[in-house]
Amino acid sequence: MSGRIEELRDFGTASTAEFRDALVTWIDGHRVELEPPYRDHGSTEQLLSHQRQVQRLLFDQGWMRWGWPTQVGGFGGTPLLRAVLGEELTGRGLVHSAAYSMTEVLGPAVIEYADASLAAEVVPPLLQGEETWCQGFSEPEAGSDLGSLLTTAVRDGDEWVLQGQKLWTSWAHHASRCVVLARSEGPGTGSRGISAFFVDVDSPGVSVRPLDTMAGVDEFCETFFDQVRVPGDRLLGAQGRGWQVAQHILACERGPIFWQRASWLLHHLGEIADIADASDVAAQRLIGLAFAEVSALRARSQATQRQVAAGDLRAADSSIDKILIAAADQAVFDAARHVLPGVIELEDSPLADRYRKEWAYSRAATIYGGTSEIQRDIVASRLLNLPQVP
Amino acid sequence: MDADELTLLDETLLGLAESEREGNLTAALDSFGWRDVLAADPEAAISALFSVQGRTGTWSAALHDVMAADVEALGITGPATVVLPRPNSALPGTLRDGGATIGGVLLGPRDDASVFVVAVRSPRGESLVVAVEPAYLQVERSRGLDPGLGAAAVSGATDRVTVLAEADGADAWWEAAQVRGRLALCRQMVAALFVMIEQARSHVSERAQFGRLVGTFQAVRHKLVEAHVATTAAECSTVTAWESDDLLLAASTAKVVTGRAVTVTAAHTQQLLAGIGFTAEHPFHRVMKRALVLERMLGSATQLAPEVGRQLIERGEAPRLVQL
Repeated sequence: MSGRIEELRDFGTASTAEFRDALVTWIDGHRVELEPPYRDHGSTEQLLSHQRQVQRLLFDQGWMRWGWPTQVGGFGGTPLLRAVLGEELTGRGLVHSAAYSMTEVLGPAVIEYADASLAAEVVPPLLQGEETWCQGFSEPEAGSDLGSLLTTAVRDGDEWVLQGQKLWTSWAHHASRCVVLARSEGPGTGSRGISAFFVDVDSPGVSVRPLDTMAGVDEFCETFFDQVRVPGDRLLGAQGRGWQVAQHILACERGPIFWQRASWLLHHLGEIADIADASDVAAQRLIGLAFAEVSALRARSQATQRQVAAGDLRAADSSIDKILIAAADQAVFDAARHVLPGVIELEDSPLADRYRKEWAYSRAATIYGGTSEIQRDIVASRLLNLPQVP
Repeated sequence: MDADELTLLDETLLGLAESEREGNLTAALDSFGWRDVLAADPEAAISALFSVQGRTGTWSAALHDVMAADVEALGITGPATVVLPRPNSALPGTLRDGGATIGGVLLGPRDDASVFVVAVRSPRGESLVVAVEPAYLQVERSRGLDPGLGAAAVSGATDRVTVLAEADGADAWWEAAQVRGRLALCRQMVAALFVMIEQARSHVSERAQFGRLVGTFQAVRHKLVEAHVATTAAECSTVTAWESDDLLLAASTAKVVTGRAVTVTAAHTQQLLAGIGFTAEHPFHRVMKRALVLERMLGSATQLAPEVGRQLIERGEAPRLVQL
């Protein structure tokens, strides 16, 4: 560890409030290093480069290690501390919410399902910001219907051979690892025939093509697997149990990630409340309604955070959180489009660039991570117990 | 109160309500001593009773008890009735030239009030809380959309007013009363909305058309889910509002979230219950009408959303109402 460590307090038994107070004091003293070096939205390269720098600093100062198990370089303590850290950073716009999500998307599942020695080897570089990981789930023919994915995994001695194509793999062009879902149990086996693999992106046969989006952010990629050989010990969980790994990942996404995303939304809503004209009645209404949506999501998510931190993952319940956050996300940036009249549509200032991209990205909030329609199907079947669809 | 005490309170109140079904709980609450519970632990008392009222379709003078919970702070010792503003009004009265013009609402108050307590504002924008003796005001009972609520209009113009609080003191008292009243209303509405959702759920799970259960059609399923999600959001906002550092904003926000849940749930559950839900025989219309009336009290979503937005614009920030 570097000599930059100032003070490593023990938050192992601290309350989230004590952790937050100490963290906020530290953040206030390090604004210069934490502020992004760009005033517009920033390119993917800029976002990730800043993210790595901030994460390195947070890791060295200990903040990034609280709430992660000691076996993977953490200091232990409740995972709620991770949610607080994310909240205080995105709530000040110091890191980008999407970039900051990376450790939380896949870290917990790898800790849960990888061999202990593999997790101990690969998770610390993730936390330190040295590595970026990506998630190879969706395919051209398997979006909402993830269980019908076609990428195959065939056993060959001690190795697996992967063949197929993934889509919407966020950050794949900057990633060194990818969690890939592939069909290991033969055609037509549905969600029961899938296994999860931890794949090095620099393996021979992996190729990545970034996809431009309407948001003007090249976050998403197409990722191709052409006879990619993966060692047997890179299987996550048991063979044929990849669906459980995927469900775990999707449920974890609704933990600290949603908490910091809500904080990111409040940050933007506060910014436009500051810009808005006090006599603009339409702005009052839109800001009030968006605030109600974000606050309701936070009220709901508070309970979910506590469940996730206690290891009590309720995937069906968290579908409600997903529906709420998607609607809140769009409400905030719809309000922004009104409060910044013509800025998003006609201008090229750093503010315009930032809000244009965030507004456009919010259009996907009801699509990514499981569409709002799929979430409603889950709530209908599993929470409301409506009759089975024929 | 600890968890066991809360469960006991909930069971006791539910027992009272079930023996007085469709009726007015005021007398039963008095013999139980609900007002003592309210004085000792407002959050627990309000949450338990108004949930029960929502679940069982009962009503009482409790909303007026809640509004008057700290009326002693104004120097009033006897029974007092706090006048509610009419829908779309912020206050139930104005003060001009030393006299008050009062136009407010009562919802099933006690009959023993020796004084009405009214929050008013002067033309110069000064806040006051005044006391008016019942003899100087007209109270006219009405049936309205939900006769079971015992609604009445209070009106009159009189200079026989006693000033109980002024300026910041008046604002603080009225804000605290509104916070309690709004959260009580939210609790009752949320519980009533879950009843409506269950009525619709049960109907679409049994009713067949085109050779299949109506609840297997995605359009139907998604409408019910939207109601459930909106009502869950309202429930979470209401439950957590009490822990906020900014109670007034949290209660106003919970009222906006709950008001929107009422709109969504009333529309969707009515649609799913279809013909049967439109009949007077089905209990749906009573639950829905009560939710719609309560939604208009102490600030509807339409009224409060811009007010919440105005406060955020004034502050130039969007605060966190709950923390981890």
